[in-house]
Amino acid sequence: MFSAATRAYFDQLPELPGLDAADARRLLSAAYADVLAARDGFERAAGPPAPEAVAFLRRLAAALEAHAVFRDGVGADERRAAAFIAAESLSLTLGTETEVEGEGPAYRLLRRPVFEAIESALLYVIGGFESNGALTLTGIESFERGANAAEAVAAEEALDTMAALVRLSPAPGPAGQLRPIDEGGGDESLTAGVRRAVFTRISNAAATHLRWLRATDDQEREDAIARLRESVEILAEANAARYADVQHLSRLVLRVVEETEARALRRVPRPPGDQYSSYLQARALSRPLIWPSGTEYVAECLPGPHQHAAVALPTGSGKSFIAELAASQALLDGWVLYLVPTNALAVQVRRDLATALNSLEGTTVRAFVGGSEYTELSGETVADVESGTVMVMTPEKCALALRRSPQAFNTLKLCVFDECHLISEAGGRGVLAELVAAHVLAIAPEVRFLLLSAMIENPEVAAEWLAAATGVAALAVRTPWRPTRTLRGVLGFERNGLRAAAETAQAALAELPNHRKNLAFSAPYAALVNLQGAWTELGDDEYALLVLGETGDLRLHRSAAGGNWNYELQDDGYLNPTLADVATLLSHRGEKVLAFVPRNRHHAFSVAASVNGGDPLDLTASADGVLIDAYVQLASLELGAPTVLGDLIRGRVTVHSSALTDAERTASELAFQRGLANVMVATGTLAQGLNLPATAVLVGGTEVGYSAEPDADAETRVRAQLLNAIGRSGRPGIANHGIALVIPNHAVSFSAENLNTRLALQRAAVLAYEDASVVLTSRLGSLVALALDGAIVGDAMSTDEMVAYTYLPEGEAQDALARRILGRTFGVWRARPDAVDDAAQTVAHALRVVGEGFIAAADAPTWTTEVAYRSGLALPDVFALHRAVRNRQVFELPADVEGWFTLLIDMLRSMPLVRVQALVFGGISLSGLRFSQLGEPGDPEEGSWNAFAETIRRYMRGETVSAIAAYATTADPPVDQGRTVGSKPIPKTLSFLQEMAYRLSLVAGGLAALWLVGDEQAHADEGAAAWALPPEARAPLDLLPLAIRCGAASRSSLAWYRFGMRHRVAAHALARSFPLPDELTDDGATREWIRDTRRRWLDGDIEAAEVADPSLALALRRASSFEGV
Amino acid sequence: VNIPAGERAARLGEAVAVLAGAAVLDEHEPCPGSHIVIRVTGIESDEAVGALGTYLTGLIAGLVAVDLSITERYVGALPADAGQLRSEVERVVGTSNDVADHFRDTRRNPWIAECLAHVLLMIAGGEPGPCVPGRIWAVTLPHDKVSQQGLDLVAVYEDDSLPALCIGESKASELSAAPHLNRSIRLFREIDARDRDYQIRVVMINSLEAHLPTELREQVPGMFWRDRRLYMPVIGYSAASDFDPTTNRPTTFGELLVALDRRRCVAIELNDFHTFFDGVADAMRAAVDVYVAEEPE
Repeated sequence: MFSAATRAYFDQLPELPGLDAADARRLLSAAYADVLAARDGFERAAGPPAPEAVAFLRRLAAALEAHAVFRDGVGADERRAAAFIAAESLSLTLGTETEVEGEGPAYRLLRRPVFEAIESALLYVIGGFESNGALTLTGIESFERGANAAEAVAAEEALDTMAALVRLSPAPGPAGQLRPIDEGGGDESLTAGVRRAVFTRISNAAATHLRWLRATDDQEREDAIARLRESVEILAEANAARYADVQHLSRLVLRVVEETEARALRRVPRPPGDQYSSYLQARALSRPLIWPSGTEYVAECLPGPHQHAAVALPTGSGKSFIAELAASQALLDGWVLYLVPTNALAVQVRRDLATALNSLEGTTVRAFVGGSEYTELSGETVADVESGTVMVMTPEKCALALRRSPQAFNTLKLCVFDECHLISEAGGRGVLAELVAAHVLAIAPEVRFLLLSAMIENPEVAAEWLAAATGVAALAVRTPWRPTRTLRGVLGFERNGLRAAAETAQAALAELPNHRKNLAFSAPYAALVNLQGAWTELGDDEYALLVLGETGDLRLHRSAAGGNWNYELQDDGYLNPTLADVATLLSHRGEKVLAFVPRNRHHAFSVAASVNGGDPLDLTASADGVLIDAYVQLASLELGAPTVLGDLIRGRVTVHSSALTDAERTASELAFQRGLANVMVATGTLAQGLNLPATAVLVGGTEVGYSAEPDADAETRVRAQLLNAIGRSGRPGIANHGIALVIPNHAVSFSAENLNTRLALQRAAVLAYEDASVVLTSRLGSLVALALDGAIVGDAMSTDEMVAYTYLPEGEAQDALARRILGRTFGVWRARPDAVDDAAQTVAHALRVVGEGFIAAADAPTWTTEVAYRSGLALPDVFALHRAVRNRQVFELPADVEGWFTLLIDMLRSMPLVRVQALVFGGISLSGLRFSQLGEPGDPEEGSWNAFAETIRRYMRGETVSAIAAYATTADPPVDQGRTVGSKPIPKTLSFLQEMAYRLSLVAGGLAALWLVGDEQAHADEGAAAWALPPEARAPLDLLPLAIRCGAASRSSLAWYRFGMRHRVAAHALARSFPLPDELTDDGATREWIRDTRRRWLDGDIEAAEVADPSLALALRRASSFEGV
Repeated sequence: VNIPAGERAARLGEAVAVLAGAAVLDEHEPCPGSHIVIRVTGIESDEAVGALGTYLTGLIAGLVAVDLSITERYVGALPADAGQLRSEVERVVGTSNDVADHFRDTRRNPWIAECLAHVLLMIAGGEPGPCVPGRIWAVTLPHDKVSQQGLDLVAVYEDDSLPALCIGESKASELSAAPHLNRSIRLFREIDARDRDYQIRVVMINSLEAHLPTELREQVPGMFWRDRRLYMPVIGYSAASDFDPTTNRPTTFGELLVALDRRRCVAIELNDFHTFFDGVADAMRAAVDVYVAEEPE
């Protein structure tokens, strides 16, 4: 259950005779398994006996509390460790016994469960786990409040105030003055009067400190705390048992004050100026404390940030907040680049950061989402970025910005690189990301880097690289601290029950006619969970067995052999039904379940369809529901028919996969994040950073995708994806503990007598690993090594090497920049840390020589390297495109987007099919589409290209997915809306369009770059005169790449998509309703016009005539308002 | 309560000395099997009863003095009715022995019985005795009213050079001692089940620990961990009843989760049950003047 960080806490425990840290972890985990079993109706069939675990933990809690809180001279780390484990021990055993008889109910603090709940909550805060503390207080409101005597009133107030302090919610009572110690009633005893006075002092200290933390009031805090200290001294001298409980609480509160003072947001080292103070003040209301994971960065790197940092923190441990703090300061005199691996994450980061930085005046957060297609449109580029701006984008998008607008990076103050392990990814993305980072380091003189990752093992090396590249100090933070714990296990069947059921099935099958070979039967589900964390030890005492109380289906098969029957158990096809079954089971027991189907993205829909997420959901019954419904309507508009996701969500189940429309994805995320859906069935795409934590995670199978040739990279990627999935269990503020169960591809069974741990681990090997398991490496490494050895050969370049080669600027003038970029790469620094400049020069030279040879061999002009550089296309692809255009001898250039599109298709048609296939169709299946021959060997029929072009045209004209599918798949209308199999018309068409939006727009960008660079050459070189580009042809060419990516060919629809409504069919509808005036040609003016029109439409001043359905019009407005611009 | 603390301690010391001389504590042989029985006799003499009155009123005087001192420090002034020792004593044992049976049986006598447990530990004088087989370093004071929260008695004694806990629970019943003893055992079961941990933990850390010598104080976290404890029910009952403390009780006493030598039942068999408790109450009321000096002229 424990991560490396929490295990480290155990290592810091004080020495107690016979206390073994592993025992403590094991019994805490067993206690959690019992809590889970009680909550979810499981039965624990193996593992430490429950009473033994409870006794152990309560002894441990008492010993550690005595040590942690009440001993002077204990180191801060040791105190936090002991307080956390004491809190965990107490909280996990809360509610394991009934309240003892005879306790007076005069007020809640006299009740054991309440006293221990607040005690444990305060200990959690001392340990640095305040969100855990808040959860332990959930039950205290159910106890009757005391109200009669003055002591009871003061005690209730003290409890409320301490609870608010733990929850960091507003302090009860008025600010600005200390509550006086009330007069007691006439019959109040002296003792009661003293207790009342202590409670009042506790309330005053807790309330004033809380107001200070939340920055709502600074008055009287010192005085209130001093008085509580004095009270503790007085009672210590009196040493009276009758005050022991109030003394105990007083001392705990004082420790909480100490601990939280050090982590108070308001104590963040700050730059001068009121502007920042107002941000801190406003932010302290929602986030008054920095989690322990962030304190080192804050202390070492702020104000500024004045140094770089590489921070490795697990998922859900506060990475985003560190980035926010760094950005909040950097924005004061510059701008911030926020690199994320996916567009989906860019959208989420923009939304979250815009909200968080709302109080920082003059701040703008913009997400540059989209592909990496080349475009000269000013609205799509980072030109002159104003101070106070955060730009969120993928490295691909940033690569374009670096090429187009390097001057903008002069004022860049901070580059946050989230999920920076991306640089280790194969297939070109890693190299590109590394070069982008190096490029930023090379041209942004004042930039500080903040590398963030949940997975890297070696932030120290990354920090050394940053320091070496810039001469500025760099901090490495590796804090595997996590606010939640996860029990990790394997889901299978209980063996005794399985055997009995199989025997019964065998007897039944024996009675059936000979032609019957199979019989389904049910066996009880069971989960084997490890009590430490990762499955590193296989001893039985490290595991507990949970019997889930439900059964799942398996199959008995018989085959004839020598006149007898051979019977065998078969589990093919068990995986997805089991996943759906167990997701249903857990959700019905109150868990928020993330069910992963890593193997196939279309399985997400089929599994989701089999999950029963609970009572039907009325989407009209809440504001969140209405918003989700708006997205469901938007998705249906895009599809041209009701989305099947709508019914799933109304059944409290969502789907998250790449085979969704944007509106479907948003509806899914909202439904799960906001608690309306209980189950999300997701593919591996969810693994990248999105904030969708759950209390239970199920991983359905341990294979990611279908890979015919497994390699080491694939294995690492699969492992990372599965671990990332597992890491999503546990929700800070919702559940302190979570459970993650892997369902192996082949069923496994366990019994209390034979836990079968070895086989279970074999089937779910990923469980042996911790979360952070990737060593940050450079994909440039091999290229650098080859270049330094003088062995680089153009023809044999790998994808990674080709990306590197085309990324770097070519030409005399650009050599120095290429060398500077290379000299700041992780790969060159790793290869020659002592001679970076020399190595960079050698590599740059080698690349140039190879490049020149490459160009000469291709019989292409040298300026084509500039085309590759700008467009991001590989050189061979640029050469092929160049040849195609040259051979076409085009004399009349198109004057609209569709004309350029036709020309693009003509170019592709004229290229060798194998190259087109690699460039446009590589790896995607065209089977079932009219133009399937384009993906096959041999010459395609003439109609294939026409059908392909017509499909894309329909997409760009705003036809619905169903209409496009009807054409592309030749399906008869109405088109089957099923999504469970990839070959059905809708998933087939959606996948194809998504791929084309990315790949074809990239090629279109290549075409645009080719003509634009050619045009520049035409001015200087008569030989290139054929490339001259008149303005009327250039304008639509500029739009072509975006038109393909966005699915909007007309000026109006593209403008509405870019600036008004990022949903294709809806954007077309708005464009028809509010066409762009012809006179508007400038990108900036177009944006303003769209924004103004949109605002008037949202305000109800104008109506969209093309959206006739009032319900749909309202949904569009709701979604548009939610998304902002 | 306005006599100096030193004088009060001297009076208490004298009373303890008298009680130590009078009381006889014997371990019953043979052991019943489920627990050890300590029989207490000799405390019904006039001298012992008088000393008990002085001691118990002194305890209340101490509580009142501490509360007054704390109150003064908290609010900067003494309450208007400060020093009303008599009213405190009368609140606990009544203004006379002519009280309702309910008050006598559920308030007064149980409170005196609770104090008896305390006294029995005090008369050991810091030496190992029949009740607790180790030096006692700290004992909680009785509650100021019997219905107050918490355990009757928690003491720390030295066990093999390490601190250990003694938990006492007192009962007084003329003719129904057996069910009362069972109620005590139920409480010890709750302790076994860890339901009373928080009371023990809180008292130990915030009160008793301060009385321990440094070397033992360092061992307090370890004490919780080692979990060494002794149960001491104290039962006052009439000789005329049919209660026999030496009966083997394997399903009650015998199932407690501490070793046999840590299940010690203290049996106070009283020849005249009511006379004894009335006598102690009278002696307490009489002892009020011992602790209240005359106002200086």
